[in-house]
Amino acid sequence: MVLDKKDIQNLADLAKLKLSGREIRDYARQLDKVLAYFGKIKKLKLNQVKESLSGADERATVWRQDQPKISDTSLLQQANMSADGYVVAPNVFKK
Amino acid sequence: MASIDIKNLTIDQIQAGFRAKDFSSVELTKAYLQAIKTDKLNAFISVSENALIEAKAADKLLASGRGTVLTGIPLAVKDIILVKGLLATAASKILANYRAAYTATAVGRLQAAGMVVLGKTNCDEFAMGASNENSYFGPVKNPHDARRVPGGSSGGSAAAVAAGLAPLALGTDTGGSIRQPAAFCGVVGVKPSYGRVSRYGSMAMASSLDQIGPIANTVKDAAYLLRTMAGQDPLDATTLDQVVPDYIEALSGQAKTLRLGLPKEYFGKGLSVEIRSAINDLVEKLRSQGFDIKRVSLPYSDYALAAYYLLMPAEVSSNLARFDGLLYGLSDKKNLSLDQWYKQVREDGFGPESKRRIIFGTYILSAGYYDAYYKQAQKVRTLIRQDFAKVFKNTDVLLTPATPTTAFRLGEKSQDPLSMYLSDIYTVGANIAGICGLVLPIAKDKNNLPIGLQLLAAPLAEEKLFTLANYLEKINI
Repeated sequence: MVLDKKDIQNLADLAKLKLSGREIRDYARQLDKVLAYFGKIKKLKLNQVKESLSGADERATVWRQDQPKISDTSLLQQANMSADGYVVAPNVFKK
Repeated sequence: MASIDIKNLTIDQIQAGFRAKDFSSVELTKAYLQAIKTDKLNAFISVSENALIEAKAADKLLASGRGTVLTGIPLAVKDIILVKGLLATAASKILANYRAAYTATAVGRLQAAGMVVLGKTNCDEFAMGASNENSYFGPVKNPHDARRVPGGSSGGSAAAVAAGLAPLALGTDTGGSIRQPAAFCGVVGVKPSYGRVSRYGSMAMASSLDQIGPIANTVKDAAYLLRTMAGQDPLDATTLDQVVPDYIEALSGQAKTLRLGLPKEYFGKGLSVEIRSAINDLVEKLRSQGFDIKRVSLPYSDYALAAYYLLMPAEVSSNLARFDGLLYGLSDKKNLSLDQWYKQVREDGFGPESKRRIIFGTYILSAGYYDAYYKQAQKVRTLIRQDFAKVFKNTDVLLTPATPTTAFRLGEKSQDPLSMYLSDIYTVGANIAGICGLVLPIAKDKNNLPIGLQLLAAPLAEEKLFTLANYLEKINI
């Protein structure tokens, strides 16, 4: 197995996901199979090849003008907790 | 008003109905809303509370003679695309009650032309799946056989058009999510070139691969929609600064002057005998009508699916990081710490396939594996682009199968992610290379299920797809 249960648990922590024991077992098994199939890409010798970030011509990407705008207050109203025009998050440190 | 036969209506037929006063946009919209209400396929997640208001405004515009060809025409929108004020769940529990704060550019342009949004269609969660079985709101059923899947991820959009619940729909295509369900449901679906249509307001799954595109009953209807949706958008920096050709004009182009190609890698083992023979029959027919059809090769095709299933989860794991239960969507108990909060909301809110891809993407992007997988896949993307660029020097349109099989049964592949991923094998290349593709029905198999043909053309060569597809439709294959 390329990925054992401990690896999956570590990845879940990094990705901020809580997984059940069953999910961890299933994902380890399934990802192993998927990786065995797609891992063939590792064997290609591609030292001379440049990477592409997308299918489009990257020179075509033009950034829009960086102009300040008043924030859309309707976006703030979607927040689950807010106060005085700020989004409120749970405590980062234990009290 | 006599009852309206809404099955398989085209834009031209609807406009003729408006002009002849056979029905108004309000009456037509009511007929579709009624059909959606009694739908057994589970094609829609929600209907728009504004549909009849929009239809009423469209009728006024039509009466004043200031309407466009799209004015008053109903449209279904995949639930991953935002329409201001309407639910936008992405078929996920994490957004089950979320209402969009703004409208996607593609939808906004169609609304500005007078289209009426009927509602939001079911799909795989965050557009991740090939069967529409990954929806929090339950699977969609195939209109041709309710025991089978409609394909995915835009399964609700394709099923809605095929079943006459909407004359037109929008989908999104990251690895085949418009074309594969179009093939399974027997309708026309277009994946525009990367940068042709604005992605603004489409929830990002894999930003370097996603495109919004039309699903329709006819090639002409798809052309009407794309003509209006396409073009540069200051709100999406990846949209291309290129004039949008008149795709309706392209329908009457000279199909026989197009040089056609059959990429041999798309006809290898794994392709169903019936699909292979349907395409062979069509190729023979076209040759006898004077078409120039050559065998071509795309040597790196074999690596396209591998590159796709490395690049896509990497982008997914980044894009889905924004769902944190703070800014919008599902929330949790206030007494949790921030870290516990994130984990709890995401555990409760994401379905199994989303979690699987987040884990996989996190692995691919982690130190030590990044070069072996992600960077290598980006290099393979270059090779695949070069493959297509080389072939398109001497070929205008490639003919390929859209899918290895016709629609499979519900539950058949849901426990085996790899076999599900393999159903994207003919479609992912177009997303990786940024080229355009169109799928249209060409035949039925022995179970009376539709067989789709995929046409592929160079970046921004959608006109060629429309010219050839319209010809194929006309010779009534």
